[in-house]
Amino acid sequence: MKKLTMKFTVVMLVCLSVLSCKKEESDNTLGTYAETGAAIVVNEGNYGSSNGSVSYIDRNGVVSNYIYENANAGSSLGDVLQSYTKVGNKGIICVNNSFKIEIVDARTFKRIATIVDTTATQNTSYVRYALGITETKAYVTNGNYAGEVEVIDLNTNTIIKSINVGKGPEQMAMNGNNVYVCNSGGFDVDSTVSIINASTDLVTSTINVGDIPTKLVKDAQNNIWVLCAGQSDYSNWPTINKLSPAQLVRINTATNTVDKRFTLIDAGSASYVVNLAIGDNGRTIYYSVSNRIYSLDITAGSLPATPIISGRDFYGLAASPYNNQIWGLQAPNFTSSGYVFRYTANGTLIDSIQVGIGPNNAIFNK
Amino acid sequence: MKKLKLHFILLFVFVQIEFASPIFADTIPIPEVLIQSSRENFYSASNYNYKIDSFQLHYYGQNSIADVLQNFTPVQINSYGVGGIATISLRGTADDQTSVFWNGMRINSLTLGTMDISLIPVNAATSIQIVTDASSAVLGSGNFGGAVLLNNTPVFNKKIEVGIRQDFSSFKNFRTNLSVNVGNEKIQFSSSSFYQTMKNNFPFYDKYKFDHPLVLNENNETKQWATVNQLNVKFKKNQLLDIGNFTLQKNHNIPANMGSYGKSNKFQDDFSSKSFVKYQKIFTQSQFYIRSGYVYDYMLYHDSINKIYAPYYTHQSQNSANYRHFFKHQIVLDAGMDYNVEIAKVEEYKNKIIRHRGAAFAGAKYTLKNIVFNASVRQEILKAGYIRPQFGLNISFNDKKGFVSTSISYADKFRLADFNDLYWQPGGNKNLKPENGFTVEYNLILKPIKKSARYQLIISNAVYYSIINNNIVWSPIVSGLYSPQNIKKTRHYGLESKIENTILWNKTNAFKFSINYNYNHSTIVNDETNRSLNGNFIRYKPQHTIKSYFIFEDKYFNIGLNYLYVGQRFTDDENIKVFQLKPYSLVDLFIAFKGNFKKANAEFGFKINNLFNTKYESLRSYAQPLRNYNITLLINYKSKLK
Repeated sequence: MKKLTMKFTVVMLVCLSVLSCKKEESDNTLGTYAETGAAIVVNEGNYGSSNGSVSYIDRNGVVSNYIYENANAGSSLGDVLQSYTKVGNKGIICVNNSFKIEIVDARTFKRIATIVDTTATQNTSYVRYALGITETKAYVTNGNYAGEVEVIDLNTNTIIKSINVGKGPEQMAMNGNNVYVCNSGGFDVDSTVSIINASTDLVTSTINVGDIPTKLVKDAQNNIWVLCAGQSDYSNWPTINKLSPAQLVRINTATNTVDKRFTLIDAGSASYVVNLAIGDNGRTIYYSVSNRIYSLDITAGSLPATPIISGRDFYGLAASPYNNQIWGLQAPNFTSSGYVFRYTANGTLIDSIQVGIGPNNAIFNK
Repeated sequence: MKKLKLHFILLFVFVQIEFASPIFADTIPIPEVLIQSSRENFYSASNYNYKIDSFQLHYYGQNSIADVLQNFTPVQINSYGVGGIATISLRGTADDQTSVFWNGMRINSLTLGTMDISLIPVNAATSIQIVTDASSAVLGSGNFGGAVLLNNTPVFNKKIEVGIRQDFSSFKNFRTNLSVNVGNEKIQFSSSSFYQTMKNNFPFYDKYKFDHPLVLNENNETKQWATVNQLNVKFKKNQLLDIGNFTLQKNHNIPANMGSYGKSNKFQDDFSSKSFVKYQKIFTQSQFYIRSGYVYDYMLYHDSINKIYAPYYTHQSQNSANYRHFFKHQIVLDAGMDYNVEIAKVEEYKNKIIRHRGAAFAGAKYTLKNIVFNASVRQEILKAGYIRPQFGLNISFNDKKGFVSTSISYADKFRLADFNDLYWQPGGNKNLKPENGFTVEYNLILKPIKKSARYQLIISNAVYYSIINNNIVWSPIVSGLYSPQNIKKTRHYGLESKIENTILWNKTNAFKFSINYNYNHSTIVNDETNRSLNGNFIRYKPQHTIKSYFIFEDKYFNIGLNYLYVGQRFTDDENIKVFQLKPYSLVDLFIAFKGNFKKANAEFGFKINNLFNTKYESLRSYAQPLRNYNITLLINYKSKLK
């Protein structure tokens, strides 16, 4: 009995210490911009106007706009803010048309460093997205024609290596030691996903997925879903024709092959796809076709017939792991504020929140 | 250094020419009865307008007429930096809602609708005038804010004048200018040309970078030349033939925006040639003129990083005829026709675009003692759709003693969509309606002190109210794809007030002081895509501007100071305070020493621009220079021909 009591006491102590650790970690982010469940909204701004900005929306939906400007004595963030990625306590902001990567303290948004490459190689000439590899290492995609992934040392905040990938690399996702990079083609056409070994920083294989792969997410089964927008033909404007279909493609990460392919829009159609997000702890995929948003269970064998949300054109789409809300980011134009429309998981509109100019994504703090 | 040498060589070559006369002619009176007012001047004559004098052209025209208009008229110049594009806006309207006319031809870009005013050197015209209430009945499409009239008016004298001017400015900016005027009572030829190179690598504090470092504006070189030639011939006593050409070329490197760490590889090349022939004849009680003009514009934008190579070719044939009859009882009637052919060849339009349009015009002017009534009407004829008749009305009063003159006017206005709006693929919208609206304006000019040869005080005020419907705005229609739509209604009202004071002590000493305050309130009345913007200020339109200058003129020197204040401006439709541009003030100072040597005169001038080193932005994130300098050397020769 004594032993049992002893064991019970030890187990309780361990549990308490784990719980207290979790609580302490949570407390560290409370009241900061890194608070778990809260979101950072990336507002691109108007091209050429240097008015990209970041909004912060807390768990209760209370918004704070222009948090970078407020944290840095009014300094501007730059022109065409493309993405934000939290890596440890740091935030990586890719500012596309300012040719730079800003590193901030993810809790305060105070600037830590600016990464630029002014050499002939211009490895920050078209920065798009970042991905944390470890707390001290990150990848950043760059290039609108020939593309590369820049390896960032977050201790020194410098580019230490450049990995050649396909044209116009965009979003990345990591599974195990593999990093999947979608090569959208940039100002040209590409149809591949590059796989990089994150230890060696070498491209290990390239997979054909479909024309213009722009976005990807990782699901609960550790597979990668890629949204391929397909090529469009504008020569009969105002009619837009798809030259190649828009597809949702699944890469089986065990074999690194495409094992599922859904056609979202057939070639010849005037519809378009833009958005991809994953929610419900990686079990539900959200994607948009024109102004309709659909939800797809990752195990489904066919596409849903009816959308869960329709009637609004969104520039970005996100799903909260905190409360399973679906967020549609609307940019009515690029000379006035945009909005975040919040929906329940089944597509019921909750509210809308005014943010900065041209919101393209919301990133939820984990 | 090579460029500097070239300028010296040009200077040397030009000095070899034996003749010289003022490079900037004085404000030209029109002594010739033969020269009749063209329609656009005749029906604007009683309106409140601004004219640039030769003094202002002389000291503020090193680069283009942009600086002159910015400093001395209510015009707002949106500058993309020294050497870069500069567009023009009046009374809070958009920069494609103000027209620029050169000798009666509208020279705005056919593709964009705007006029890059940096492409117009001061020697392109001998007369520069702003007509604020320009009615579409008289001037046709695109004059919501007003119009800038650039004219070359001949003076028939038996003379020869030659002038050469060399400007050396900061940032390796060199400009060589030569002008020649020669003629007699029957024939006149004038020619003015310049060649300019600008490195423009000025330092500026980059407020869009952390800690606002002092950096150099790189990739901002500009090289340009222009030549303006005109021949005027009198046939018999009542006929006049004018032939003119204005050709220019500009190659400009486009720098990166402030805040950018990238090296820009963007370039813009412009070539433009404008020509006109005008024949006029005066009868006993009537006048007639026919004018034919041709405008060719070529623009190439190329960006080696993003692999963009976009040439634009446009041709415009503009033709006009006007008959004016002077009846008894001070009644004048005009009738006229316009016919234009517009051609654009742009890769993004897919097909070559050809547009024909015409217009019929009628106008009447009746003078009853001190009151003048003006009425005009125009019917635009366009295949694309019907535009209702446009009316312009004006009543003015001038008291006999010249103390008070006042006028009230109403002007219908419209603007056809630009070719890019209509035909750009993807996005172009052929179903766009023309923008339309009206302006009501009241002017009051007081000369409270009895007219004297030595002292003159003019107080002028104008209030205006304009509505513009169906404003064309490019908006996202599907993700990442824009299309122009008629979605906005805007309202513009304000006050322009000016006090001008001139004192002449004696034949050689004069003092002139002027202050001009402009209040403008331009707001969105209705935005169909986002009603939350209703009531907001239109972006980049300052509510308050002040423009002031004084000049003291002596026999041996001139000294002057110029002051410009531009109030705060919002840079987005939401009027977000974080992104608004702060007000700024600029002070320029110049001194010039001059001497006369028989038939020649020479001048050495020194000018300081932005005396107090003000950091400012005309447009958000486009760098502007700090304090900079200019030295002018000029020699003029003038002689009467035997």
